[in-house]
Amino acid sequence: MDEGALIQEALDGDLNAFNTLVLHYQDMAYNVAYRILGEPGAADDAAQESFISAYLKLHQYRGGSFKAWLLRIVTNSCYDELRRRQRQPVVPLTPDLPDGETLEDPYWIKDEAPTPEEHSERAELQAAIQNCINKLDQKFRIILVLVDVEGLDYDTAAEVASTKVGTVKSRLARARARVQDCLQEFWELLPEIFRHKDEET
Amino acid sequence: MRKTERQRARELEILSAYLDGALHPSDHQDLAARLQREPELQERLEQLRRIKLTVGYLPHLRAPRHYTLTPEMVTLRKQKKPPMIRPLRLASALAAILLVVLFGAETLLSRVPLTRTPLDSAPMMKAVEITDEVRPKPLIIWQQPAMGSAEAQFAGRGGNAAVTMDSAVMVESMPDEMEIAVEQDMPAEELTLAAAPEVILDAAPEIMLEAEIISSTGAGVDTLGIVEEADMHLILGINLEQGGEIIQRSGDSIDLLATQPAWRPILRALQIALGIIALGSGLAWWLLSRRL
Repeated sequence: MDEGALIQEALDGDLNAFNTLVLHYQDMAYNVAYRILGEPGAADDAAQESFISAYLKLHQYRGGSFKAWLLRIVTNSCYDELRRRQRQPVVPLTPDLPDGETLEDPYWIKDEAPTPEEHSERAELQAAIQNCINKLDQKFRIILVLVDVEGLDYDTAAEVASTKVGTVKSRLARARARVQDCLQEFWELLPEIFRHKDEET
Repeated sequence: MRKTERQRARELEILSAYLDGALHPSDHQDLAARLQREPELQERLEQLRRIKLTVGYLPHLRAPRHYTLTPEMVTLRKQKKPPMIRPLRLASALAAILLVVLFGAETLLSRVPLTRTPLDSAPMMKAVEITDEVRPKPLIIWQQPAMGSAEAQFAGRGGNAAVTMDSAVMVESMPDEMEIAVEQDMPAEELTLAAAPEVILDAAPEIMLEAEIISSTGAGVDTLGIVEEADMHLILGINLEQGGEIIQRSGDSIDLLATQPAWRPILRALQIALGIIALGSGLAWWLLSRRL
């Protein structure tokens, strides 16, 4: 795929050329949006919105990494969605928990799993990790998702998040430490290789 | 304690960057050497590594559908009118900034001492010269009524006035300068409407000459006197019960409001207008952004 040529064709009004780029990056866009927002519906909307915005703002693309530019639009869409949620908080449907379990308990996390047909322990662990990511502040969450989930290097993550590399380092370290604290509650779900020696005793 | 926490945060940052291979080569070597010596540091690095692995354990999700664009989607978006949010936000911010600037400018300008222009003082000076030639001596004569009487006579160059007042209150409330003036005698031929006992206010004849017409005032006057204020203003009646409210003043005296610079009302109007714009557009922006 000649990315540069496709971008130029899209700039000339060729929607099919742009759609080739969409097909190439749509999984990445959805995955990042889902990890940041924590909801499939919201992630779906954010991903679609991002591609529409990207097409309309394509003339603002000044070269460099198209992936980073696109991810910036995706994260901005997620920011917008998170801000909208803050203004109009969505109250989740709370399950009936007669034995007093809280939302953070594995029972509830299990129900949140995007793929309930998967193996239950694996789904629970994924849900627990996602739950811990959701608990992070936006700025930490986005950096953690970009680096640890999406595998971006510090420079690209800084470009996407419109911040400095030093800030990325700092936020990532703090985000990891917070996720570590959060996952202590779910240590029994962690596979053997992820557990800490002291946690098993 | 705080320093220790900061150090720990810094250490965590270095370990995290080391884990990602993003540490500067020299720092990398230093940390590698420390890790050999410090098992605790090594343990912390191991914890971080596990967290990185754990987060990386999350599967890479696939998009549930294709996000390819159709011409309709793009056309619809292009046709959609741009929301007024941005202009409103801009207007609100600009108005607020200008408002602050104007308040600052007003504060700065008000610190500059007001200099009276020749035009301000010209009428007064001219009047003094003319009237001095015509009638240099005291003009205002106040006939103190008998104790308990409800009326006092007050005369000026242009007319007379009858003022209802309580003489006892007046005497008590008179400033010292006035009392001195009252005690001065005045030639009988120069008195108008004067009758014994007479009280002549002769504190500042030049200024008194400026008093033109003293219209009568109603009941409730507590004191009557001539006060020179700010060099130029003749205040002939002061109602002490009303917090020093001016009852009468010389017709030629300069209006206190007129001493304000000409730019001040314009500035005030601008400030009000900007305040309305800032508040109005800010409110509209807030409402629109909530709706969206």
